[in-house]
Amino acid sequence: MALLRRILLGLVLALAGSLPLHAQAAAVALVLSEESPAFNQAAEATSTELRSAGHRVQTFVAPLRPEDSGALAANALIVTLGTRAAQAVAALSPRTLVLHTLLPRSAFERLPTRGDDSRRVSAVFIDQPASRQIELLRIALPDWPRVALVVGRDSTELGARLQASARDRRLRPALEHAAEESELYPALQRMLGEPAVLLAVPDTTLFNNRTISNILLTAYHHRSPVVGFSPAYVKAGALLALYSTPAQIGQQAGEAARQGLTSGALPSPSAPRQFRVATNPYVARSLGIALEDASVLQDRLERAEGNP
Amino acid sequence: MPTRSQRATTATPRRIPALPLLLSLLLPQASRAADEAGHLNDLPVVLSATRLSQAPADAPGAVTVIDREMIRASGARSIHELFRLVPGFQLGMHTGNSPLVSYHGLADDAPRRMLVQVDGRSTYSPYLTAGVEWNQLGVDIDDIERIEVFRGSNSAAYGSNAFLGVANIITRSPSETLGNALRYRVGDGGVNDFGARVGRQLSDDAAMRLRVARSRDEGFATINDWRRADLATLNVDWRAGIDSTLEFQTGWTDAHTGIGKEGNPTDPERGSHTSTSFGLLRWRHAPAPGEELTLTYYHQEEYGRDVYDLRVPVARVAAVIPLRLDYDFKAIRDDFELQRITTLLPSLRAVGGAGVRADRLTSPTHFNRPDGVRTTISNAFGTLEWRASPRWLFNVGAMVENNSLTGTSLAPRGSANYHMTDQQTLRFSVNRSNRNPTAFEQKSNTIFVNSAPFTVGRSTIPAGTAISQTFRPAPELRAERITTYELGYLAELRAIATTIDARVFLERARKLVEMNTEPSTLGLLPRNNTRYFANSGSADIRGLEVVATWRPASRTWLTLQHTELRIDGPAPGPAGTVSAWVENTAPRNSSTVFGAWAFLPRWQLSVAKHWIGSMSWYQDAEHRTDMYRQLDLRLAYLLPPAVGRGELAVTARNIDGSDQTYAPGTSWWGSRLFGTLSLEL
Repeated sequence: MALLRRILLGLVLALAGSLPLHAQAAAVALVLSEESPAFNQAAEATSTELRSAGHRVQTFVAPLRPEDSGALAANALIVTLGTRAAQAVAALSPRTLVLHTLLPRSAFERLPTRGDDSRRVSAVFIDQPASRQIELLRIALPDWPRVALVVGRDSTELGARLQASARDRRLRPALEHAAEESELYPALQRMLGEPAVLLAVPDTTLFNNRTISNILLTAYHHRSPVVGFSPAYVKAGALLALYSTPAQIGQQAGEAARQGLTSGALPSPSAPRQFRVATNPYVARSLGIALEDASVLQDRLERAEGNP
Repeated sequence: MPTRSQRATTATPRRIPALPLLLSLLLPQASRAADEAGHLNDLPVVLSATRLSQAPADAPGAVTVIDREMIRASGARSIHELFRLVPGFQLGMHTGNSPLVSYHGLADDAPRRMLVQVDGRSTYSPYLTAGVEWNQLGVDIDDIERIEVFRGSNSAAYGSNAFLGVANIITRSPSETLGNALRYRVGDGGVNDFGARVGRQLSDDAAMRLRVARSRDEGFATINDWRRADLATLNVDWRAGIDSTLEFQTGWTDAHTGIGKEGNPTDPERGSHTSTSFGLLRWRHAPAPGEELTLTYYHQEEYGRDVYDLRVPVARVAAVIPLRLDYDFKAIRDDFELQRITTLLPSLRAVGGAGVRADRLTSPTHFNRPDGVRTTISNAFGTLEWRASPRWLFNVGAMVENNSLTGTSLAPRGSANYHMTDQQTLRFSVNRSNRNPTAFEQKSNTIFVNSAPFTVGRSTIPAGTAISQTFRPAPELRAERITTYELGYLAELRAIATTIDARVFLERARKLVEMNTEPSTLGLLPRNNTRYFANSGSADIRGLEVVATWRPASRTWLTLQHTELRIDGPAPGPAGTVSAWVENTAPRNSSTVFGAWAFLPRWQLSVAKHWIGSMSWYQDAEHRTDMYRQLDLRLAYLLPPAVGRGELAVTARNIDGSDQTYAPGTSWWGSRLFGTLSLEL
């Protein structure tokens, strides 16, 4: 029965592939870690980009069922959205092109199959490049040369990149390691004794829903601004945040996917190209910091990167 | 948008790759820390509008902030001591356990023109003549995040008791005080204090802090002013959602104090007992930065016990009168407030709200009625802050308040802040504030009666006969008012870590409530000095406050401050009036140097030196204190991590000699040495 189904499916696919209208159209599977507004926005942006080139898009949601693996294998390219989806698909070791997106660089680097073939497996990360974050600090907070960083086990490399980037730009990074939540508060106390900008890192062992109150209050009481990596940080009380929206990341993933389908090779793993800056003017005023509008900062950062 | 129904339903392959699937189930948990959740998840609003303090350059008045590092470096055991660090304030010690704190004078031995709030809970005591019961604030000094002191009058924002000086004590959030902490302090003068704190994260959304503390000392030398105070507080913050938090605070304080004077026939040495308990519930809804709705309710009960029997020989009637002096009291307060902060336009912010408070006081001796006195206050307030341009900020506000004792009053306020440069601001402000008399000032009717029969000549006076009246009611008493004109200058020179805050002011106080005396024929022993309160006073206060602070690091700073005050009373009135008393109520000059120096990474030395001019807490010039100086030193050592997180400190207070800070011939504020060990476990 299963064999018959596979033959039938093969026939259908062969027929579809031979239709003249969609001579270059391919089947693409999107695998989402979960269904939530953020994932749906990214998926929609990717789908729109792919469909505009005539490709067909089919959507799966993790956890994958055993029967999904066959269906996935039938696609020319699999786009995963989120770490869980990336891990689920990587575990299947598919032989198609695989583009992982909406996941942090550290999660991508830990995937079991990524080293196989860099042109076949690639990624569009969710996190910002260290150089861009440091450049934003220089632009937005020129009077704050000291950058405080707390990193955990999963963000050691990110910490090192940020530290190096800060030094390159003549900022003074102060980095502390906190293996667990309980070490976070003493580390903050030590670092913020001198005026410093606290740059939050996307390591959920340290920076999460439970610790955010302590982090923001401690920094605020030291009169230290916090720079976050999502709009939620700004709403919660960070001075500013640098992030890419799921739609921006999804669109870039769609473009990379198109390129992969056309050339047979994916572009190399990259950080999001488009980004947003958000500011909290209330926190800025309270800290006595003259902060430019978010749109001005964004423009200046784009210009600094050579983007129009 | 894909939904679950769009899942692929293609044919099922039989061969299931078991290991990869197993891995895929295990892996997500293993590396949760590095997934995208942190980028995409919502976070609770932590620094909501009411949690953010106003930038000094935008504030409608002069604000001094005493933060945790300063509190610690000051070596203060009690909160009242910190006001020596704020320009314009006077601190006198009536005895070792009864501090007197006032701003710009106009005080007697029961200062009542300043407001102190702890997390929005007014500690302005309704029951007797004094405004702030410093032993009963219901907050441990180590749990304070900062104290924001508004130097000036501000009834428009804080209601009728914010007459001269407002202090907002802001406690640390329970999420900041997780873990256990211990504090032990011991020193001369019987200093023996203990404190313990337990902080717990109850769940992802709730954190709590439990604090217990006791403080013991023998007070000043030679007088009966010992203090045994105990405190327990519980703070719980619960995040009811991304936008909402519920705060619960409850606390209990219990103070036994030595009072009375040796050899005084009517005020003998004895112990008194005061106990306070409170519960506060606050709901904050902050859907966006700059938007907040807050509802606060608190209930507070205070009980005082001070009863003693006397046999007073009275020569003029040749009798010994048995008296029971019963100063017991009970004060119950309920307070509810609603406040909304909103951003009407990017340049226009509004604060509005309303509140209602009820105080029920029972003090049979003071009011001469067993049923007690009830006071209700209701108010509505609003403030508009308009950022007209990057240079100009305007702030107008008003409060309308109705008090069951004195009727309705209006307190308006207006200010303009001109940001001359990014670092310098000029401020002009005008403000009218009120103080409603306390129930005691208006309704006190203290008539002493004999507790047992006694004989005069051949007649027997039955128990319960009125003997003498010391206070009579003043039903005509109305709110006093003050109009303040202020010119302020603020420089925040970040490059050299320096701020300069200067303020010149004229404060015109009118209808000041003052204590007068008159003859009374009531009772067996008529007297010529029965006291009553009247709106007979006035004062013009002029002066200057300057503070310069250099603070290159949070544990190193140097603050210099100087205050010049001149208080003019009305022209001398008819003989016997006391209206000129105001002139003596504050020193003409006072200066403070307060510095801390973290000279090695683990060591900090702090020094506070005060020069205080002559003043009087009595209503006359004869009881002026001499000018005096005080020097405090503290050396602290942060324990190395191998030993534990904590600090060992030695504090030497007032080491440059004893001072009489209340009146000549009374108590001496002597020096004191103590050591403190603080440990976080």
